[in-house]
Amino acid sequence: MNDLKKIISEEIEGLMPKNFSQNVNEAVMNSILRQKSKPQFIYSEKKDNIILGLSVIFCSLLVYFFGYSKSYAISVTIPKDFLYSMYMKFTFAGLIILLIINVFVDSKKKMMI
Amino acid sequence: MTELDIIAEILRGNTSKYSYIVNQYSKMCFSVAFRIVKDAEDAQDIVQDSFIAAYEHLKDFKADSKFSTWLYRIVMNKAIASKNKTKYFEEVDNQPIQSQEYDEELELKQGADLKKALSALNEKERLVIELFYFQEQSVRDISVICQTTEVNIKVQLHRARKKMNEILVNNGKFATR
Repeated sequence: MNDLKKIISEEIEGLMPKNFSQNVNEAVMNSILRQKSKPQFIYSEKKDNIILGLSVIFCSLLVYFFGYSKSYAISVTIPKDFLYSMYMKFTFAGLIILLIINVFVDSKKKMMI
Repeated sequence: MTELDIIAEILRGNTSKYSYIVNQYSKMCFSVAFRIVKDAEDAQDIVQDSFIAAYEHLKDFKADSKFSTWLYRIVMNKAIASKNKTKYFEEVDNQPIQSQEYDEELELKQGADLKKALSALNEKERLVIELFYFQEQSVRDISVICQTTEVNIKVQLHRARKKMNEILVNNGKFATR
C-alpha cells in the first residue's frame, strides 16, 4: 500500500504548478493578515459615513428651517462688493487649504492601515 | 499538539499557526480541485480561495467530522461552483454490491505497473481512490466530501479496484485477498 501512496503522491506533485505550496502559503497568510486589520478599517469607514450622514441631515434641517419654514425663515442679502472683498478671498483660500490637508491626511490614514 | 489544539490556537488569534494547516493539506486540496477543474492554475486559485474561506469560517467547524473532511468539502464546493455545476457525482445505478467485492483488498507488490493501473481510472474514480488510499478517508467521509451517497462511493471504489485489478492481473504483479 505504501507503493500506491508513494505513486499517488508523486503524481500529484507532478501536476502541481512550480512552488505551489510556497505560493499558496504566502497568498493565504497575506490575505489572513490583511483581513485581521480590515475590521478596524471598515469600522472607521462606517463611523465616517455615519458622521457624514448626520451632518447632511443637520445641514438640511438648517436650510429648511431658516430658508423655507414660514415661521423661522430669514432673508439674507449679500452686498455685491462683499464677494470681491479681501475677507472672501481669504475664506476661499482657507477652504482650499483645508481640503488639501484633508485629502493628504486621509491618504496617510489608509496607508497606515 | 493535536490538530484541534492548533485550530483552537488559531481561533484565539494566533493566526500564524494556520500556516501549518495550509502546508499539511495543500497537496491533497490541489488534487481534489484538479480532478474537477482539470487545470493546474485554476486548481491553485481554488485551493487558495478554499483556505481563506476555511479560515473565515473556522469558528463554524464543529469537530463532529475530521478537519480534512470539512476542508476537502469546501474545496469540492468551490471547484464545482467554478465549473457552474451543482454536483460532481451523478447517482449511479444502485446495483447492490456484494460485500466481498467491496471488501476486496489489493496487495500491491510492485510500483511499476501501479502507474499504468492508476492511469486507467477516470477522474472520479481517481479522486475516490486518492481519498481512500492516500488520505485514508472512510467511505462515509468521502461521501460527505463528494456530497453523494455511501453506496455511490462504494460503487466508484469497486469499479476503480476492478479496473486496476484487471491491469495488474494481466501483468501478474498483484494478488487479491
